[in-house]
Amino acid sequence: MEILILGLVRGSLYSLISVGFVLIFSVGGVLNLAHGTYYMLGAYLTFIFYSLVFHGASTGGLIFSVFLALVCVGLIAGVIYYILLRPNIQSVIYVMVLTLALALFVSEVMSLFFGVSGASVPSLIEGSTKIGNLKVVNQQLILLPITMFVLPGLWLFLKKTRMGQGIDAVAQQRMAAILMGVDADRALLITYSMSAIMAGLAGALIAPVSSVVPDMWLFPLIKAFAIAILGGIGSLLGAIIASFLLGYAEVFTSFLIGEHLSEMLALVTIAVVLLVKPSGILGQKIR
Amino acid sequence: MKAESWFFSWLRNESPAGLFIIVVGFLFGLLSNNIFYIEIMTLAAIYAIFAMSWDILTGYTHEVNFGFAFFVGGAGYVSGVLSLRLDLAPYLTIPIGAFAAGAAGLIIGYLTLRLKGPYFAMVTLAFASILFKLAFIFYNYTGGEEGISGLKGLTSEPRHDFLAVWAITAAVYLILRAYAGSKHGSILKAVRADEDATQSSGINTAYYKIEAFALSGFLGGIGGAVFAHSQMQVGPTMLSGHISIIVVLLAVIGGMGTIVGPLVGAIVLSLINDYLRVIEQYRIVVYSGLLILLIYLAPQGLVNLEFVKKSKILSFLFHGRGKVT
Repeated sequence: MEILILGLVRGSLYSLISVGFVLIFSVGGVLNLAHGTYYMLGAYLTFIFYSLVFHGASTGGLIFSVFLALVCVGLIAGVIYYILLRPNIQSVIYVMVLTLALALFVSEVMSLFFGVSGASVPSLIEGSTKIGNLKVVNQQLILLPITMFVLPGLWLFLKKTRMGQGIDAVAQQRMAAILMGVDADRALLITYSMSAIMAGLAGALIAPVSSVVPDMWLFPLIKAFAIAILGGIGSLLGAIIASFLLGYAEVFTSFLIGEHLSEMLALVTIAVVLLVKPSGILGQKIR
Repeated sequence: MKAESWFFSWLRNESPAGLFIIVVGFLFGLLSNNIFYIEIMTLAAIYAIFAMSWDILTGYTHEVNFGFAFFVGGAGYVSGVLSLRLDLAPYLTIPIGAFAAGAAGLIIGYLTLRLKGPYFAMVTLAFASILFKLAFIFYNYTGGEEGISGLKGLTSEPRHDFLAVWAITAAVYLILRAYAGSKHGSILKAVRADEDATQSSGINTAYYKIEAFALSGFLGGIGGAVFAHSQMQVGPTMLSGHISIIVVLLAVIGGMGTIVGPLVGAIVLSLINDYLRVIEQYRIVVYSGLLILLIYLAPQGLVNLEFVKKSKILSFLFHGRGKVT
């Protein structure tokens, strides 16, 4: 029972993080190593708006600062994409090196301003719920409805709106989409911002229950990558399935063996899946 | 005359800038009395070893190794444990650590052979992170968070330390230049251009890629073990992603696929990093901002810039008489 609930919570957190990562990779072939940085910015900006701008006002203020933080993350990601990444977007090495350098830079900036010990953000809902003989913090439970809202929303956006269809088309066949009149550049820009916002949302929601520290970007990046590999890079559905698989697998190992090994699980997953079946669960065969 | 002729033909094709840096380094080590600068240069030289040995794999095949800390920290820990538990001298532990890293490179190279591009980059990152976590799990061997300290120093004096490290740097540089200029280097470049075409010309590309991986690991392992001994301690920071990222940045900014580029990049950037100590508080922020700016302005690296290749003097300075690729 405990494993069921905790795995569900963890899985939905992971899916929120990894879907954006997979999306931008499948649309633009961009391996965004700054993905964890947007997660971190989501948490930090929520903290900045809440305690420095609104001086720790009410719950309404907190929701509003989460909203503002997400807008800022989207804008920052857009600017980074437009100025830094766009000129050399075709070069895989350039994109990877630059995004990793950005991740390093942002984490240094944050440790300069807020110290290495971190900052704290209050919960949206206080208290905890007792399910069976297990206490779950409400802030974690809130992840479930939000994920259930965001993921179908994303699906609707990609399949039903004109812009979403354009993004989908670029993901399927970049050249053909451009010939059909889709602005591939803009599609990529929007996708990049959107994936950053989803990572930022995950960061902002998890900020109250985890510590907001300057090196918090690495963990979601590795998880996102493990999930993307496991699910098959380029497959959103695969990413969601893999998120819950990894979430449950981690909770299982930490219950049965220990916390240390559950942290290694994602890494071992990357190594094993890449070595044994590089295409993942639902991915197409890679060349 | 005959004995001279191979020497001169070698010298003509060598990069003047690379040789110049090496000679100046030796002179500096012999003449300078400032211990502080000698220690900074020691560190810069060690980073140059890392960047150059990273370059032989990634610069020549364009398969990005994001887990270079695996070799650095792995060899560092091996030589650290050997030095402390078995009381071996550095001239024994450094080769053993390097061979261990080289063997690891062989195995990982074999396993990751089929992977390309981002997949390759990430699996190397994953291997390095696994080793990082293992260093915490086996804390009674590795000392966990604190690492192992109390290793034997390379020599008893900083100046001799520097000269030893610099000699190793020079040796690594010359070995890598020779390797890159040989048939093996040409084959790696062919793999970079088109692996399928190279394979269909009857070349066993897998063998050469694994060989480059093992060489990169071996030389990186020498660097890591030397690093451990010159700091007289090994800690998890040597295995962390930070080292991997810095090595990648130094080599990319210097100019991949040239060996001389990473040497220049590592030395120059390490010195800049040190001059920034006047603004200690903002040093790392300014430094990493500078690195981003450099990559943005010169994605192909400083020695590979268009105007360097076009200008006769600069091109000769960095690339020698050899053809620039």
